Amino acid sequence: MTEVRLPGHALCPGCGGAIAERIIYNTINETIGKDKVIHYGGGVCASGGMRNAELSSFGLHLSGQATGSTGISHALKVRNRTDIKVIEFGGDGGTCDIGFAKISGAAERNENILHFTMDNEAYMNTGIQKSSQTPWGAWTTTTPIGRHDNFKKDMVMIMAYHFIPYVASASIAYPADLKNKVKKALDMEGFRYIHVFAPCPTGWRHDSAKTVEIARLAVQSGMFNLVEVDNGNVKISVKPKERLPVAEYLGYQRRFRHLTEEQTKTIQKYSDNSWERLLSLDGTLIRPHTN
Amino acid sequence: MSSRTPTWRDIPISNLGSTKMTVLNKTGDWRTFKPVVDVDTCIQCGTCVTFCPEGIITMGDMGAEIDYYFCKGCGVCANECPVKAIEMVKEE
Amino acid sequence: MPSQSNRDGKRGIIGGNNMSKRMLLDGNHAAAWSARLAKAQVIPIYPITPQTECCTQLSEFVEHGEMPWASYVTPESEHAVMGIACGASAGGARVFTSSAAQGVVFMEENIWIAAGNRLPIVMCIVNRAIANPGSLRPDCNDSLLQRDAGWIQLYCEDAQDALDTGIQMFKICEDERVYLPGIFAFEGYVVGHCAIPVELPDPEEVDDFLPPYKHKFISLDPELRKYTTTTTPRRGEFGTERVYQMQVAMENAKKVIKEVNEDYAKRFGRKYGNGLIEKYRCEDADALLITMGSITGTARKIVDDLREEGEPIGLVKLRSFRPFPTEDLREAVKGVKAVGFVDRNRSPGSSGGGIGRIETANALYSLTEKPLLLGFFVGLVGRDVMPGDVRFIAEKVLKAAETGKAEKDTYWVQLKGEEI
Repeated sequence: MTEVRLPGHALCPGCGGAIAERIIYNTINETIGKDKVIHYGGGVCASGGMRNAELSSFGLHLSGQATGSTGISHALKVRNRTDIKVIEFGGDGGTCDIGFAKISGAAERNENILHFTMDNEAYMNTGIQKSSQTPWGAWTTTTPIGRHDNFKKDMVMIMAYHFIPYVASASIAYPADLKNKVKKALDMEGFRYIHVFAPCPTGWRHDSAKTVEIARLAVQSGMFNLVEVDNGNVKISVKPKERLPVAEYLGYQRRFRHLTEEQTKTIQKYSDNSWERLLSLDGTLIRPHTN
Repeated sequence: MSSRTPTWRDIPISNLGSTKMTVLNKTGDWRTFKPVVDVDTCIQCGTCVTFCPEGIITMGDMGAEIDYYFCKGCGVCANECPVKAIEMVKEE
Repeated sequence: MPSQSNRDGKRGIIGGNNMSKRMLLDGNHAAAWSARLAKAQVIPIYPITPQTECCTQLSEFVEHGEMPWASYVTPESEHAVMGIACGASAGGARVFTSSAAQGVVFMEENIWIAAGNRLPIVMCIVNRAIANPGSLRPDCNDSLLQRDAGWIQLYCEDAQDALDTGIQMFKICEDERVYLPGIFAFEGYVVGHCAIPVELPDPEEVDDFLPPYKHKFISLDPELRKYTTTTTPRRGEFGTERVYQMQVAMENAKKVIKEVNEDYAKRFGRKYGNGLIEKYRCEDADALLITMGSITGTARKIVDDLREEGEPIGLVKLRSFRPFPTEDLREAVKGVKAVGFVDRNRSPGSSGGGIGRIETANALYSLTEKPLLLGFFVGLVGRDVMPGDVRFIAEKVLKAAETGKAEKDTYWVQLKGEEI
């Protein structure tokens, strides 16, 4: 396998985002070739490996999610270079918080961009501050007794209700699933959004060797669900045969070690209810005007 | 490449030019533990190759091969190996 | 295909495919026409009073197929506008956008990024007072605020000026000695909504004047990217050098603006001073007014009246604020006894007067023989500037020239109540 992203970069040992980047870049290279891509990146952890990637890449600033890439895609259109695809990486902070309006705007205009969100559930590069994707109860430097105001907002469904052609969630622990989703999305036009779960040993306070295992446990305990909304058709990608208790997932991460039994029960309820809701949406059509 | 410090006349006016320089830092210096592959146990399944965050494991004829110049010693390969062929050994 | 865009028929403005050489256009429509004639390719733009007409006219041009080379984008905010502009310019397209007051301030972050990345984006700022105190009406703070960011700034007196300067701006910014983004500004309502007969240059002649955009130093095209690797950690500390390069580009811009002004005059018959400043009746003047934008028009009349009365007064129109024409101003004030800068902007707590007076004071500081420099605040937060106000200013400057003394450094011309 040819590595598009060369080693020797500054991402932490065991970085989930680094694994995600590799899988995504290599899939793109195998499918359309890295010479057919312009990569926009923002948010340093999310695109930390971008600088070492042999890909034509460009970044504005953290809050420029979806705007720099929109601009490039329009420039390519007027120059009749639609053979070049535009991809974009953003963190959960850049996409869901500071750049949320931009992502929403680009989605409602159905701009021709493939966006990847590297979800490490906090603003990691500035030193582990809480983001909208920080789970309820998690420690961060700005939620030192755990996050208690709200739960993680559901980006997949928010983006699905923008009625864009493709929305999916993916995880580094299921690389074949991620690869298939990337391939499917590359083949489409319009705004495509893939939300990738990328554990962070530094911010979640877990052993760097456990990165992939924790990502797997997240899916198996319902803390992160893999789903696809293809042209509005909702489909759950992975249905664990046996749903594991969330305590097993939470136990590996010291960002959850202060949780009381009550709080763990709350998180279990969150997982169970989210799963029930997703099951009820499975197989339904969200996008109103097509099939 | 000349050894004198570049001046304002030499450096490109924008980051967006047509040359992209990637820096290959010697990240092998970071690690405390290093992964050692037991080639007899290794079944060459490729799991470690898929999951290495650095992308520095390749599948050789005998088993997985690791580029220690860059290996940060994270331990993901050892954790994911289905036959436990990789052991994390403390660096000397 | 004939255009349906005659919606402004009540003002007698004809848009669309009518290629007549003269049209009744206001500043907003003239700016839109300048983007059309310059063949701007990507137009991300967000409406804000008093620029809305420019925004909607361009959408009509593009959507009705009169600009088939262009793509019109409707972003969700001005911050997105400038982000998209940067991306599009880096991607190899000629970009035009427009905004005012709050919109300009909202896109401030990306304005600096555009200049630092050396992307030749052209923005038309339809001056409007920034809140608070704000108004829909003009003052020049929104464009002057960009003075440190590294954008070229030219100020327009009327709709014809706006059209010509808009077209010229692309040529200036895309010159390989420059590669800086550029602002051409005019006041909302006073110029933006005031229709005058405007002469439009022939599109083919504009094509000859302004060749297609191709950045000499930037390309994101993957097949042009050359990858090199190094094991030497890159410190990336070339910030000072990059800023110096921008300074050099601004110095070059002084030459380029003059060259483009000459070239445009040869081809299309309209000249704007030497490009940086325009001198009006400055021969043996003891007093000088310096104005920017539409106040220049009023000032011309007042200078004519005063000259008729035998007063030795002249006028300098400051067309270029960035790069600031230090050398040209120093030359213009030779032998002049008093200069008055008419500032339509505010800077509470400044070292003395408005932004224009401050820059001029600095430009003239090192002269051993320099005139008295008075500053006049007028037209702030959209207050109309009447001929009486300009006359008052001119008389104060003449008095200072006569007596050799300035009563005070700055005057608040239209203030209701006494200054302390």
